[in-house]
Amino acid sequence: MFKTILSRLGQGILVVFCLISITFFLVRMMPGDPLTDEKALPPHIIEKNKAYYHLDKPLPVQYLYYFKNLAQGDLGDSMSKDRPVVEIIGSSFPVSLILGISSMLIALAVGIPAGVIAALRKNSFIDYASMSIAMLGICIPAFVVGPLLAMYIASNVSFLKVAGWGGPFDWILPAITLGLTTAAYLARITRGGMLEVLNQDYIRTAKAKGLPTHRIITRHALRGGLIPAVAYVGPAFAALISGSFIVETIFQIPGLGQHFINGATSRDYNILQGVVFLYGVIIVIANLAADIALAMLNPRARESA
Amino acid sequence: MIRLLTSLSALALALLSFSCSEETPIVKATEEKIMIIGNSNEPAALDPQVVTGVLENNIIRALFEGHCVEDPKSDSDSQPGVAESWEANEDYTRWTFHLRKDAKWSDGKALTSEDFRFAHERILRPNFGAKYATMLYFLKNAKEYNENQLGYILCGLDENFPTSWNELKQINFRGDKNISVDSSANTGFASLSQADQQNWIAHHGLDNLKVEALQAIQKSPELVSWPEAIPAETRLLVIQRLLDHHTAGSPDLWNRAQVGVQTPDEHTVVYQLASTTPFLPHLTKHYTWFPVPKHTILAHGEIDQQHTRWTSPSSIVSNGPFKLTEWEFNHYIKTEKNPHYWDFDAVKLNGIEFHPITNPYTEARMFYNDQLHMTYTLPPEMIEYSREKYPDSLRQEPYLGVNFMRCNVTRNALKDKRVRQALAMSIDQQAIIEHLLKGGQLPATGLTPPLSGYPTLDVVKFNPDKARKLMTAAGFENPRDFPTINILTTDRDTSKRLSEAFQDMWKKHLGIDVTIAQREWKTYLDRVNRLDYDLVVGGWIGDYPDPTTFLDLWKKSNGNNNTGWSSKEYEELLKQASISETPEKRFQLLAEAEAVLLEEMPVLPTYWYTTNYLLHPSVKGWHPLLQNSHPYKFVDLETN
Repeated sequence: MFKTILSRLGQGILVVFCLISITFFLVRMMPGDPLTDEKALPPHIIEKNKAYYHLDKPLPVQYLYYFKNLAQGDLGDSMSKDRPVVEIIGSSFPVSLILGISSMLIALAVGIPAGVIAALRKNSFIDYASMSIAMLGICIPAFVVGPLLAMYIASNVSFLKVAGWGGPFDWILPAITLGLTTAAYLARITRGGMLEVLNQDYIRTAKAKGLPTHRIITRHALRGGLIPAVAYVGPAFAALISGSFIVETIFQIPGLGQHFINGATSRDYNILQGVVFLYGVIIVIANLAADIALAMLNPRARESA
Repeated sequence: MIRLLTSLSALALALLSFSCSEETPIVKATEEKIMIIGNSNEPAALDPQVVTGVLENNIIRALFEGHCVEDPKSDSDSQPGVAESWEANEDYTRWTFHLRKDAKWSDGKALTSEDFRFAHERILRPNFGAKYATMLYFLKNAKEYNENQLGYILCGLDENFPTSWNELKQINFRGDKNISVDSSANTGFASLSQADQQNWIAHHGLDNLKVEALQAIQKSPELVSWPEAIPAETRLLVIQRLLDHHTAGSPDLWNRAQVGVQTPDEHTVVYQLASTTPFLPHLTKHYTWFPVPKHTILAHGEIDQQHTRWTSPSSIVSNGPFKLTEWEFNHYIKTEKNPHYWDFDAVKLNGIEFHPITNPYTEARMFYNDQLHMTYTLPPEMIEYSREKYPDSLRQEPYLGVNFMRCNVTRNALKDKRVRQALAMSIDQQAIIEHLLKGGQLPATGLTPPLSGYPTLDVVKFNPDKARKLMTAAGFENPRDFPTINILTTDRDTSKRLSEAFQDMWKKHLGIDVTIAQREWKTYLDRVNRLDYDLVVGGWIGDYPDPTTFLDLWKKSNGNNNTGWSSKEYEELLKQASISETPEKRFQLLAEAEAVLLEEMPVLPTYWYTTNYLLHPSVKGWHPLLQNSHPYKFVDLETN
């Protein structure tokens, strides 16, 4: 087991390295650069500013500079906002973490029970209703759900604000908006997993032995039925805590997601590379965590690993 | 279970009752006299000599103050700021500002003329690389200093130099980028062949050569194609001066460049200008001209060092009506009344909060729900709704900016000015404003928006009949003969719909086919800069209330021209205007220049901007201003 984790970590580092390298060259292939401005800058000013970010040097040299700084924990300065990328991530990531965790909790609290109930009452009204709602949840994008929640719920409930990021009340609507899609996926995946398990012989055996239904479900069915859901939760959690441009702009949240988009549109190479790097690390860790959890749930996975 | 339910419902009740008693954020803020402003985005920085944008201006204007302050009601007047009084010489080439003696920085230190001089030197320092240094080019020798024109500064400005600058300036100091250089030249100057060395020198110009190249010239002066009039010993003297400068470690040349800023005493600043500048007091209201605290900046780094942390809330020292207290990245910026402000008693607000709300729909929702005193903007589709539901809040005010379409005159289809005129005449500006923009914009009958004292041109008119005649005269009687042209536009919604309107109008009135290419912002800018387009939607916002902010764009040398068009007649008129004796004569010459531009039509003016935004009725002392640069010190909040 320990060996597996180590090898997974090694793979993860390789993945992150490739990710940064590809990003590094891809962003520089986009037309324009950080200093392309609506008001054209005089050439000598462009030169001075490029020199500060080493953009005047050949690509391989820039690439080496980047890794040299990265090794020292320096992700460079943002080229559109006058501050270090590390500081920007430092202020944005905690926000996205809070939002990601609350939306994950919502997704788990809604998605898993809905999936389990739908599986137990297969082809019943509850099954059709919850799966239809889940389908809607997957199909309706956040930029529709978000404003609707803001307009119809926040405007009428006095302790909710239509946008802004102050106290825990302000987490509610964005977390619902963000968590809804995940909840919907989770419900469908859980239902599928549960249905497969419920048809297994050992469940039938348990039933035949006369175990009460709730014990069959909690002791035997869930253990196997949740495996697909757990595999999904890892990467989904990584996606949730790395922020969402749409939810952040709809609810005016100082999170991480907007830097992916703004970094690309403003050609802020450093911030884009910084957030991609962070996202890569999170994905690797989340996948690893999911693998460990799976191994605990599923003896076969433990053995094959 | 039951116990849990009861405690939950008790909690919910408690929350509800707690929240019912709470007043809305705006009611509370109004009572505390804190103004909450939607400001569209996180500022790039808060250093007046670093930033270039409008949203930064909104914050910096609260924190800093220049010689003059915007008048709260009038665009053409200025109120005293750090300067108590100011006067110009007869032809407006020399301005004197008398600073008030009680002006202080927010740390209590006295603000003197040296802070202004320091600020101007800083933004112009070649190594500082300020993006908006051009705003100071009105000062004599400022451009030369900022561009590090060594030949001019070291030889031209030296009265003892044997040859005058008038002759020296024929020497290729600045380089000619049309001369191509061998791409393998990176290996080093010495390894180049003689012909390549000559090209290298001609390409870069003497000002930009390194020691190695200069020494080579010293040995064989024929590497430079010298003008005949320059005697051989002068040639060597020029090279010697440049070499001495480099071997001395290329020291900064502020003291030798004689930039037009003088500080005869602690409370006087005298500006010597490159040309007649009657609007200088307006310029001093722009943040690029603001003083910065020399003592604070030097405590955090060198004068020519960008990206130091002197503007962080714990370090920043400013001189405006407000001072920075909190700056949460991408979240909010809070300011409070500055106790050391010279006009402290006149400031009515206790503080201002700025929120970087990028999504205009979110911003409008926040305003509707009493979370903001003011929005940054208002999307066109929300104007009608706001007019109906919030009639006291909707603001639609003229703004110093123009929307236009650039023509790439190097394209065959658009070479003929009659074609460009025809395109302009078949744009129904009024229809675009009424049905598409809906923001009370004005049809642009000229390029420069209406400005007090300037005779606004009334040239561009919707006239499809005449447009068709012009097309016929240009040889396109049959529209099918006209090639399909393309409109380049950004992915912003308004520009896209605007392009579709043009496309439709030109099809309808001229019968020509137009396609549209939408490109993401930086790709769009890149293509405009490379002249890789036929027609492109664009606009310009004036930096100061004077026609030159719009007319200088179309000079051949201007980096924002991007049309391939230039005219000697036009530039001569602008030059005449810059040395004219009276402001009236100046405006007249500028109007003549603009008439030339509109006759040639390298740009098709579409409409003059308005700002559309929402302002809470509790905000008092807020009047329409062309530059939307409202002086916060006169603003008040009153509970109705």
